[in-house]
Amino acid sequence: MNSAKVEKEIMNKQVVLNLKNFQAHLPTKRGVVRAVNGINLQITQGKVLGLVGESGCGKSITCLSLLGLTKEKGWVIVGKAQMQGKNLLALDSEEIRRIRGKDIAIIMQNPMAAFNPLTTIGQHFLETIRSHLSVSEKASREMATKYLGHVGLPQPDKLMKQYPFQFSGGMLQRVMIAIALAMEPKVLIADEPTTSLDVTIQRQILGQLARLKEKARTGMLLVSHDLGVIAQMADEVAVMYCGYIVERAPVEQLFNNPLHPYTRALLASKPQMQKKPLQAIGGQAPSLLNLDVGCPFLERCNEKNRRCSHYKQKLIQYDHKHWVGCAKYSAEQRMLNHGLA
Amino acid sequence: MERFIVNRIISLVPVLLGISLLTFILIQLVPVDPAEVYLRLSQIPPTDEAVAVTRAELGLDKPLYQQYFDWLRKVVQLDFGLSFVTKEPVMEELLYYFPATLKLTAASLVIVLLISIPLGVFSALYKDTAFDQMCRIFAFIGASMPSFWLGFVLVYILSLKLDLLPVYGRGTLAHLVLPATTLALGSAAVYTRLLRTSMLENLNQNFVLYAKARGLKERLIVVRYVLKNALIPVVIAFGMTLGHMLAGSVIVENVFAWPGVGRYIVSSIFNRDYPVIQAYVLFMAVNFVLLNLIVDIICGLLDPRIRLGGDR
Amino acid sequence: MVLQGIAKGLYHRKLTIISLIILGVIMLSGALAPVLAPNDPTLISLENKFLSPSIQFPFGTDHLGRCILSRLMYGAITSLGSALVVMSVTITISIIMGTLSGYMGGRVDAFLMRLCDMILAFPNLVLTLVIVGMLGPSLINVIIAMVVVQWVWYARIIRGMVLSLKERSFVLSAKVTGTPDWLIIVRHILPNIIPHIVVLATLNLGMVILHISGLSFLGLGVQPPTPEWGAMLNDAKQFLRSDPRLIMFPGTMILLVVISFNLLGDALRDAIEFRES
Repeated sequence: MNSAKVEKEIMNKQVVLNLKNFQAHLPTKRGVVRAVNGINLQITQGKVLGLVGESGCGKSITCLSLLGLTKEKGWVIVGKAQMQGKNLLALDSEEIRRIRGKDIAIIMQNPMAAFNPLTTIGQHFLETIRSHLSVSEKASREMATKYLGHVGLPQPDKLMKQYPFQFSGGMLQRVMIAIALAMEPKVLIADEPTTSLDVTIQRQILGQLARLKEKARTGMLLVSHDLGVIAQMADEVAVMYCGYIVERAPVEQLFNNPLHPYTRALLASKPQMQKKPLQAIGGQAPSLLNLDVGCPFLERCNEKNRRCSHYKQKLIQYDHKHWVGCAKYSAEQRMLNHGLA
Repeated sequence: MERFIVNRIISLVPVLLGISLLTFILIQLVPVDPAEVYLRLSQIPPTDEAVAVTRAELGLDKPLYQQYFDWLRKVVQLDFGLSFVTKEPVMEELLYYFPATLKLTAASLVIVLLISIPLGVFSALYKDTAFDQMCRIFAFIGASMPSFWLGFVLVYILSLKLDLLPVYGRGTLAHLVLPATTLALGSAAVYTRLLRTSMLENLNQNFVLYAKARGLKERLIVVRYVLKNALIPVVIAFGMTLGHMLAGSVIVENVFAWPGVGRYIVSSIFNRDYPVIQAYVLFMAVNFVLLNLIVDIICGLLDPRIRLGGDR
Repeated sequence: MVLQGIAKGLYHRKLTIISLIILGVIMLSGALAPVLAPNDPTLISLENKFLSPSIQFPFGTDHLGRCILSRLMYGAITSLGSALVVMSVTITISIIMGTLSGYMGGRVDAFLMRLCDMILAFPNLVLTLVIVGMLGPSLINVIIAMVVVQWVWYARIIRGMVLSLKERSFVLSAKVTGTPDWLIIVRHILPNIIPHIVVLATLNLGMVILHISGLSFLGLGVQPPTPEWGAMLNDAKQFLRSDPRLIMFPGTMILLVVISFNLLGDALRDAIEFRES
């Protein structure tokens, strides 16, 4: 056995969730919405994978369809989502229910709308615990108080008896985190966990997430359109555009050496300390309805060449851990570049 | 909770005063002189002299505001005067007939719940299926059906043709079925529709998605998340319907010869028995207000935002 | 999905057309009853009572030997006509009151709204019944009572609409440019209110018909021998066992008309919501 193979073995053991050629399409009367188009992602134990992209690029749909949680009926989900040798997409409704909230927990955006207004915080906690574990009410109550304390909420006993409308958004977000972590999930999906919160609260929440992830060795998928959040939290980043992963790299590499024109444009639109003018990305993302052949970023790209209009989107290994999906880095193009040089 | 209830009760005072004022104004609408009616019903020739005496006796010669306060003072003591026809205290007569009406209304309330909750819930859960379509047709026809006609149709089919249920009379549960169903059907139709809409709205809420994401069982989500939230607007509307059902019992009681206040009031209208009419409207309005109070309290029990005074 | 949408549209449109035809036929036969009706609806001939359908009496005769078809046709005028009168008077009053209340605000508003509160504290059928009881049984008193009870409800809704329209930019800009109040009301406020009110009125016409015929059924509305569907049911109820036809005809008419108005109202509401979305 050579050392490369051993390394791969170890890697595989640490991968807790593996998406292979994952696709999510919704046929509608105006055509098929191609929300996710064959993406590959690995979530590793104790690591944070950041998923960035504009709103509507398919990030949320990826998270939800993974667990069969899409709101509209009729989504066609293809590919594999492997966890401990099981393909999540092939499970029946009861099997997937057991995984939701237990093996894969979700923290949702907009915490104010995520709680049942008619039941107490404690009830939310207890029903989650008792949906997965057969423990007594007393034991689950103790668990709940313990985890509410972990996320830094004062007087957890009192909070348990209160109703969601008596909480602020930040507090509810913490409750969500506490509920998620109480089940010690293998994967934590955080879908825009801080978007609806004040900036000061955002920092606290992120700090908490980071600490808790460290402690529980949970693999985390952090979805955000906010590059600041990603830079602070993620170990590896995947950039999503129009349902494709267009670039994937360890976080420093992505920020220091962005390859895909879209990634560059994204980074240029992020405020910096230096007083450079912010760059907006011109134009609009194409509708997911009429994705034709060619690079989806074609019309907004300022580095395009004639090959782009029939480029089939796929990831090319640029560097050890750096992958990019752009015609510029294709083998032919590189050969061409070398030839010219 | 106690504070919420106390506040609601205090807020009833102006409403009750308004009701009493309007009720008093209503009696002034009478195009003929009540004193004259009184005399005719007592078979005394209404000579000018006799009318004047009766007016004084009934307090009709005093200024209006004086009459109102006199009347109100008596009403507060549940004294509505004597019926022109029977010369018995009106309140006693109303209370004599009321239990029958209450029984009828309560029974149809149960029927409304038995029909509209399952139909509303399942037509929302199985939206756009054949079952849902059937519920919609039921809701549509039910809401358009004249109860007085429905009563006859039910009697004709179930009693006369199939001989399943007794037609008239009261006492047993079987006697109650037809009138209560007749009274219930319209409201059941309305609530099936309302609950379906409300369920569909709540099925789409984020909290349902989050509940699923936490791995809660489907049934728990439907009951505790969707149905419980969906019931709140339905319960609020229910207060109104209870009033309709109390009033609608007038027609049903006359169809089925049910000896309740509904039949009593219609015969009193024909007899121009004004004290009875006046007492009836006040009595019904107070019932309506109290029923709405109960509905409000139920809403408070269901919804902590109402109970604890949070913003919605 | 596409097909389902189209099917749904057609389904609705088809039902709408059917209900329009039903209403048209009934209204027309009511309006032309003096010409078309085969017999005098009030002519009593005891030797002709309880006749089965024949050429002379297409639907047969009732317990007093009167032609059922003729009575149904004439009844259409009373039943539908009085409902339309109730509705149009109600709407007119409530538009005036609601607009006044919403636009002027202040004391007028406070007074009108307290009046509304007072009337709304009563179950509406009870109040209608009692007003009729006080005024005495007759069709005109039923109409008065229904208007008195119902205008409140519409006036409240209209007031709410006026209040929100008042804050809209086109009204504010009209105000700034010195347009007189009456012109603002006529040109900017009413045109935005009336379509909604027409929808509400259509949706509620069915209910008005049910109430009027219900009161006539109790003997409080239309007085004999004038033909009216509710009153016909009242006459027929004692013959339920011997001659159920007498019950079926007027009841079916009421049901048909009410369903048609409800369908029409639904279609109008869908149309108006679609236009605004």
